[in-house]
Parts: sequence; C-alpha cells; structure tokens
Amino acid sequence: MTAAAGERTRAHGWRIIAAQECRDLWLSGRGPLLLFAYAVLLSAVTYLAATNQILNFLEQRESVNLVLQIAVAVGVLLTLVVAADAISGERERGTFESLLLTPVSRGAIVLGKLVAAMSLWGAAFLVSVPYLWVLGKGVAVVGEAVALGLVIGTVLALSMAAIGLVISAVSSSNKVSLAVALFLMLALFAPTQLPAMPTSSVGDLLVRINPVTAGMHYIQLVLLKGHGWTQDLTYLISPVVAVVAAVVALAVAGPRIVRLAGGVGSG
Amino acid sequence: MPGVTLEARELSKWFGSRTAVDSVSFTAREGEVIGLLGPNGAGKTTTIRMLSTVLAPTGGEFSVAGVPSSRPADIRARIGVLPESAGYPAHQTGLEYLIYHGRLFGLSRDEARNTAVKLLGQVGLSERAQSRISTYSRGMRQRLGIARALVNDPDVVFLDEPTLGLDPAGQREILTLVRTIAEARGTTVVLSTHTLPEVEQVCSTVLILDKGKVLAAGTVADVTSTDANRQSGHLRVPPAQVARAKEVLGGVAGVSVLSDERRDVIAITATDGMNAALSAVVDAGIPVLSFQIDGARLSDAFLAMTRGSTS
Amino acid sequence: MRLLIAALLLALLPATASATVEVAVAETRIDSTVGAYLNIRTTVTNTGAEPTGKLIAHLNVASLNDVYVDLEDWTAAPTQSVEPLAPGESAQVSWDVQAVNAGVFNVYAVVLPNGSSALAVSPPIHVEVAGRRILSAGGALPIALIVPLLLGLAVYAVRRRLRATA
Ligand SMILES: Nc1ncnc2c1ncn2[C@@H]1O[C@H](COP(=O)(O)OP(=O)(O)OP(=O)(O)O)[C@@H](O)[C@H]1O
Ligand SMILES: [Mg+2]
Repeated sequence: MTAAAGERTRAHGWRIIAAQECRDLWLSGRGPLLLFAYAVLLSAVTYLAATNQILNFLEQRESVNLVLQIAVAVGVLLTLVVAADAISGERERGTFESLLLTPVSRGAIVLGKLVAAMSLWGAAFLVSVPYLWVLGKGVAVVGEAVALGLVIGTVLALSMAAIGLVISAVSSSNKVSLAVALFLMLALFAPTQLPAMPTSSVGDLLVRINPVTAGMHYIQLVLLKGHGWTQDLTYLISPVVAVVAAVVALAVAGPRIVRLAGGVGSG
Repeated sequence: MPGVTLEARELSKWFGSRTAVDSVSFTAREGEVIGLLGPNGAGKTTTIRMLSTVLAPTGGEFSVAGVPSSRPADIRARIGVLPESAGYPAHQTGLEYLIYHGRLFGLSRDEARNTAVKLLGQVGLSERAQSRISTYSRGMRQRLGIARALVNDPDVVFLDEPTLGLDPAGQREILTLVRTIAEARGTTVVLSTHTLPEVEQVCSTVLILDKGKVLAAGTVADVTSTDANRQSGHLRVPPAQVARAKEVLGGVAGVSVLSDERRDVIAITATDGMNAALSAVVDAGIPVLSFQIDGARLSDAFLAMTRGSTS
Repeated sequence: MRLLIAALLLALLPATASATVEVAVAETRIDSTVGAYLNIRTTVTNTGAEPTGKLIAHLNVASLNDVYVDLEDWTAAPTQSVEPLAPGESAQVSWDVQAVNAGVFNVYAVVLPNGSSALAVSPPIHVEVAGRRILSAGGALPIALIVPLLLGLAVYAVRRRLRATA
C-alpha cells in the first residue's frame, strides 16, 4: 500500500463505506421493501384523512398534521431500526472482522454507517411529500408542512440513528440491539399518543423533555395552531440537545465501542 | 538473512479472569511460512486477532512489517488476514466484494478493479466473479477470503484455519495457494491450524501453542527433535491378551502405555527405542499381530506436548 | 412653568392612575375557515410608573351577525394569568382558538389589573370565518395508489435483479 493510498483511505474511507452500505441497503437489502411498507401505511392514513375531511371530522390542516406526524414517526423508526442493525448485524453475519481489518478508522466506519441509515430517512421523507401535497393543497400549508417535516424529522432521525448505532455497537447480539432500540422508540413515542398534551405545567415539562414529543408538539403548534416558526422555539431545545448529545457521544465513544465483540467486559 | 517482519514480545490476553494468550513471544522473517499449531482453545485465533489489531492485547508489544503496535491503522494497511469463520455479504458478487475491499485499502476505482480481476484469477474464481457469494461453495468462499487478504499486496498474511471444512482436494488447493503466495511475493505467512500434515507440507517453522503458552518454536526439524528420543507406536495383540501385554509393557523401563486407544491396539511411547518393549512382549509369549512405529513426526511431538489438555 | 406643572402631575399621578396597562394585538384582521385554528397574539405592556400586581388576561369572542358563540367551544382556556410587570415591561400572551362557527366576529382581550383600577381592553380583531370548502377524496386516491405502486415496482425490480445474477 502506497502513501497515496493511505491518504485516500484516511480522507475517503467513510465515503466508500457509506456508498457501499447504501448500495447494500437499496439495491439488495431491505431498503425498498421498508419504503414500500411505509408508503402503504401513508396511503391508508391519507385516504382515511381525506374521507374524514369530507365527513367534516377533520379540518384540512388537521389531516396534513396527522399525516406529517405519522410520516416523521415511522420514518424515524425505520432509520433507528437500520442503525440498530448496522454493527451487531454485521458481527452476527461474520463480516465485521473484515471491515475492522481495513486501515479505515473506526470513526469512518461509524460515519459511513450513519450516512447509510440516514439515507433511509431521506427516502422516507421524499415519499411523504406527495401525501402532504394532496392533503394540504389549497390552504397554503404544503410548503410549511414539508419544511417542518424536513427540519424536525431530520433532527429526530439523526439523533435516533446515532443512538441506534451506539446501541448496536454495545449490544451483545443483534436481537438485543433491535429489542433495546424498539423499546426506546416505544418509550419515546408513546407519550405522543396520550390525549392530554401540555395542559398542566408538569405535563408541559414532560412534553418538552422528551425530544420526540417536543418536536411533534412544535410541528402541531406551527402547522395546526398557526403559530409562527419562532414563537415556540423553546420546544426545540430538547430535540437539538438530543441530536448534539447523540452525535457527540457517537463521535467520542465510537472508536472505543466499535470492536469485534459487543457487550460489556469483552476485549 | 531476511528481515524480521513479525515480532511479538510477551503478548498476553485475558478475557475477564480467563487467560487466552499468556506471554507469547516469537519472530518471523520475510518469506517464512510459520505454522501456528495447537488444540482447540489454545489461543491461535486470539493471537492472530491481536497481531492484526482487531483485539487489544492486555499486555505485551508487537510489531508487524516494521510498524509498532501503537500505529494500528498502519499495521492494517500492510497485512492481509483471512479471519476464522469469516462471513461474506451474500448478495455481493465476488468481484464487487474484492473491489470494495480494495477501495477500503485506498486503491482507486480502476486499480481496485484490476487487482480484483487479477486476484480472482489467481485463486481460480474468474468464472464465478460475477456470481453472488451466496452461490459459492465453502471452498470458493475460502479462496475468495484469501484473495481479499491479498488486495493490498501485504507484507504479512495471516490465515486462520484456511482449510477448515474443506475436502482433501480443496485443502491441497489452498495449501498450494499458500505456498505460491509465500514464494512469489516474499510474504510472511502465518498459518493457524490443527491439522498436522498441513504444517509439515507448507510451513518452514512452527509455533506450538497450548493454553495460551508457547510450548515449542523453531523449524519443523527442530521441534520434532525436541522430543526426538521419544517415539510412539501401535501394537496389536489378540484381544484376550491385551491386559497381559499392558502389564508386561508397564514393567519395561522408559516405556509407557497410553490408555485411550482401541481395544485390541495398545498405543505406547518409549524414550529409548521400541526394541525393549517389543522383545518383552515376545518373550512373554504374546503373539504380536502387528506393530507400527509412528516415527519422529511432528504429530508425535505435538501429541506428546499437548496430551494433557486434549484428553 | 410647564416643567413645574409636569412635575406636579407626575407627583400626583400614582395616586390616581397606579399601574396602567395597555393591550396591543398582533393583527387586526383574520380570515379563516370553519375548523381551523387561529393564534391570537397580544402584548400586555405596563405603561405606568409602578409595578403591577398579578394580572388576569381574558379572551372574548363576540358575534357581529347573531351567530351563537359558546366561548368554551372556541378555546378551553380563555383566561390566563400574567406575571407582575415592572414599569415599561411587557409580556406576550397568546391563545389558540378554533373557529368553530362560520360568521363574522370580533375577538378581543381584556386585562384585569389587581385591585380596583380600570380594565385594559385590546382593539378588536375582525375575524371572518368562511364555511368549509368541500374537498374531494378523489384527489387523494390517485396518490394513495400510485406511490405504493411505484415503490412496489421498485421492490420487484430489485428482487429480479438479485435473482437474475444469482
Ligand atoms: N471473546 C471472547 N471472550 C471470552 N473468551 C474468549 C473469547 N475469545 C476467545 N476466548 C477464549 O480464549 C481462549 C483461546 O481462544 P482462541 O479462539 O484463541 O483459541 P484457538 O486456538 O483459535 O481455538 P480453535 O482451534 O478452536 O479455533 C479460549 O479459552 C476461549 O474460550
Ligand atoms: Mg481459532
């Protein structure tokens, strides 16, 4: 291996890994299938929302809000699942040692896998756009919904992908990793399904602390209640803190937890 | 004398309180094929993983291809490894897989493709280059793994049980490949195995490991002569006479009877040749149906040294 | 001379008009449709020289064309409390209101100071709520069919490619 080759490995290692992981995900892996299931779900919700509009149960903005919340929630969930499989899954398939044997740094491996997981969120977001458009056209809400989905969804997806990778790296098996990731997802998303959102100050605090409920609540305030983008920025504190903390944790711990065997205490 | 390409000093690895590798020291030189020999759990894989920087040693130091262990990425750039029971991405083709790994070692797209095509030819996979790895046989996968270990034109190659699960023809192919690699490239090859003929066939030196410790090291001739005086053999007598024969043999100085053998065959080892043992049996009037000396082969040295742990 | 009068007035003022507050609204006209949410934003400012006590802000909806208004339907929390304001300080108070009836309304906020001083009232916001536009679910159906169909084809193509090269 020449010096130039070493230089290339250092500079582009993560890109090469990301490109291959994306190819694996989209050309031969679960990517298209997950996206298809996602589209079927959004179709069902959109159709129900549209018929409900006719029955006067749902106002137009309400149906856009409903579909956007589901699109973000499920898109983020899929991203988390792909991230949680990224390292523990490779360990189980026995392909991880070969990757560790390349001169690419551990950080580059993590970054490449993070990018690949985020590609699923990007695709999910693109798929959701036509649904938002068909429900929101005519009330000048589509642009706002798309922008909200992009910003909030990306912040949530990135933090979940980073957490998913950490979980995957430290889990002793792929099953454990997926179970922990799903449990986390459930714990974070369950409160969004509770009927009373912030009515008391304690309730409001709970909504604000949880980055998922806080982000979802912000979407609802802007999209549904007609608030300005800057009016409730404080709701974005916990999503932003979460994404920064998760990415920093991944960057700091990544090189140490990306190793041959998962679990605690082993080499 | 060719330069030292591999040096380990007091290399140790503990998993919790269990010792996997215990103060292993050795050196290997350019063009040398060194056999890492030992029973299951001896620490072969762990040693290779430490030297290839995927496992951090608990103690000790090493250098590979002149690079100290403190620069793991530089070591990885100069070595090629066939990991123990490696997995392969089932849906990639052999060619895609090698190109990807070539790129991870810093080759440009074209260089990686050329290298991949050349290596697939060398390991005899040219025809199946465009097939998915899921359709490869075990032997083909092993050969693909060896090709992968060569994408960066390494100075040192580690092969962890490359013939595992292959039929005799497949084993011969792989071993020929290993010899070709070492001869043509001047590469140091570390070959881990528990199949002894393999070592005698291709290795210039051996390192016998047991329970994480080095039991013997040196050329194949050196190691066999370490215990050269000790010979082993098999003696077949009528089943009815086995007990008496054992009794007689037990009385001969320097001869010991090994227990765990077939009913009518008695395995013995002797430090001063077999004559005394044989004449004692004959003198006692026990008919000898057959007698075979195993000779001072590596397997004897190996079995003798590691007997305690294998049974 | 004028200065003297001004000084005199200032000295007397606290006694008569202690803690004066003003309520301003962010917009004076809103057009909406039935079922939509409106965000009514107001700014309460202490224009007096003394700090206020705790204030109560209350939102009201008055119909201008005899449509029945039940305030409870429009907002669950028409009354909010405002923390005491120092002189010159102001606070943002906003209400999320759902326009439940079609019609023309005036929406205004009232701030009730502590004690017996006068109420402060915001200018009214003219709100016109149009009846619901009827949407056709037919518009949503093609999208709901086409998107999964296209992705299904993509899945099929990928599977086929995998099988073809196996
Ligand atoms: N990840 C691990 N955690 C705990 N113990 C381990 C781990 N890996 C290896 N060991 C232990 O270290 C010792 C050496 O194992 P190693 O795999 O190096 O042996 P080996 O010589 O390669 O054996 P084999 O011939 O079966 O491949 C064994 O006792 C094994 O149980
Ligand atoms: Mg092993």
